[in-house]
Amino acid sequence: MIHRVTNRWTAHPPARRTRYRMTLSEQSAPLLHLVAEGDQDAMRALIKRYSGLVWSLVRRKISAQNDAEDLVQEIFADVWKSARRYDASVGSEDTFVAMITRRRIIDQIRRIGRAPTQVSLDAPNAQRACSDDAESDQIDTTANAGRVMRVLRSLRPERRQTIELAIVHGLSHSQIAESTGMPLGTVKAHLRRGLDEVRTLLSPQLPAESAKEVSR
Amino acid sequence: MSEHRQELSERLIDLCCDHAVGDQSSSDLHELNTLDQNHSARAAFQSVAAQIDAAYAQLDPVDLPAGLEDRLMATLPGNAPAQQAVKPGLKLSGTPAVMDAAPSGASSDRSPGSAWFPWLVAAASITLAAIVVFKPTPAGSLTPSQARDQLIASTDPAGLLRYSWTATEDPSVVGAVTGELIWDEATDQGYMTISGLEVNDPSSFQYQLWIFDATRPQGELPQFEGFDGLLSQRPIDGGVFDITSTGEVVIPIDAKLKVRQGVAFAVTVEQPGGVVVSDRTRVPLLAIPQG
Repeated sequence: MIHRVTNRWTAHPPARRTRYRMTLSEQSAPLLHLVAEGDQDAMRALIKRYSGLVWSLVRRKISAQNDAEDLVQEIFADVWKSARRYDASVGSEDTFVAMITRRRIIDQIRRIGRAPTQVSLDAPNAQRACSDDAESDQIDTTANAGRVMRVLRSLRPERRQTIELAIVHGLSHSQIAESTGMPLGTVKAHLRRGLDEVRTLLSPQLPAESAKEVSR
Repeated sequence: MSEHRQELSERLIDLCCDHAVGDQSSSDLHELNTLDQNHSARAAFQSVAAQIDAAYAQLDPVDLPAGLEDRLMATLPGNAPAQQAVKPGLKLSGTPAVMDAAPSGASSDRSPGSAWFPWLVAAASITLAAIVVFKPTPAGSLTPSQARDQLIASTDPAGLLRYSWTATEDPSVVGAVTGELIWDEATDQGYMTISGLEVNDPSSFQYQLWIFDATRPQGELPQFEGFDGLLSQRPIDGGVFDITSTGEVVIPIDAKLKVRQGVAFAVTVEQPGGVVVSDRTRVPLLAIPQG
């Protein structure tokens, strides 16, 4: 039994976190086609627009701050180099940047070993992010982000949780099994069915051709 | 709007999912390359994963470190080496990524000399990195105890959290627990001073600190008895550590994420190397507001 303490929570109410007020794909002037032409002003604008997104993606999965900062530099160098592959007609710029980011994170994890940093003493889950209450939080995000969250809300909870642990927190299949107590095969099944379901529900706007270029 | 969704075999979906989350063996990758020669199937799943990851990142962003954006700008090819901004104290792990003078495939009117820019920038960066790495830093030469004292001396007491430990009846509490936890939110630094915990064999178990930040989302596991929501946020990993003496030990806190409003701290007993998700079965120490 934990010793009793008489004091109650004295903290201030939770502060509202800084939201991305960067206006992404639908609301901002496209930049990647300018970057592809070597326009450095466009690249500066692109760094300003997406550095928060890239950092948030990297920091959740790369534990060492210096490694994370080096990786962000490599990612933007990769975006600069790969911009010509972007096709605005088949996908959004933020998805293109996020795909490059994830690819580099995965490469980095292969090099240094998987050590996800986004941790939780309780089982991380998609409940908050997918809850109705959270919907008002999305007013500053892209329409696509809201659409993705609505799709995730429609999944079975165990599939949603597995997707979050694998994709957002960067846990391996075995780490998810260990964390949740689910058998490894069940984890893989939830992930496969969940991702395929999301793919189906998002499919009308899948940037397949653009994505294909990035995946190479 | 065009319909891009492809009909894929169960096996190919399996392989694409593993690839999208970066958890794939070399033999499976070889099989994927055979089944998905034009990369279209795996790209579809990579795109889905990217959209999910980006959506969460926008919902729960992590603040950019100070100066990172400037350092990114400094890697642009038009910036002279002297403009390279290096974060004080930053140990660069290698040559920073430097952008080529023009993206692949872009038309370029760069002069022959401009081709040297990336190399000049890289060389300057290596020099700067060497200076940063090899220059003795006062903090680096301090023991944890000295570094703690220095933090206390250099920080406005009003901005420094100082909590005494509240011990539990966990078996790892082997004596009268004394000490405190200090945390400076301005610099994201802190130290634990602990005595009275069991000396651990790191190959058997380790201790792990968790930081409860009032600005983070609420968790869902049952809360600690008697604390009425005090420890209800999803905590931040504060680092895995060992107790090497039943006497007083000082341990630096290694927060893995920016702590915006640290309000409580908990030490758990975990498997060697720590965990990403604690089952909370063993919580020997808490550091919570008193008074």
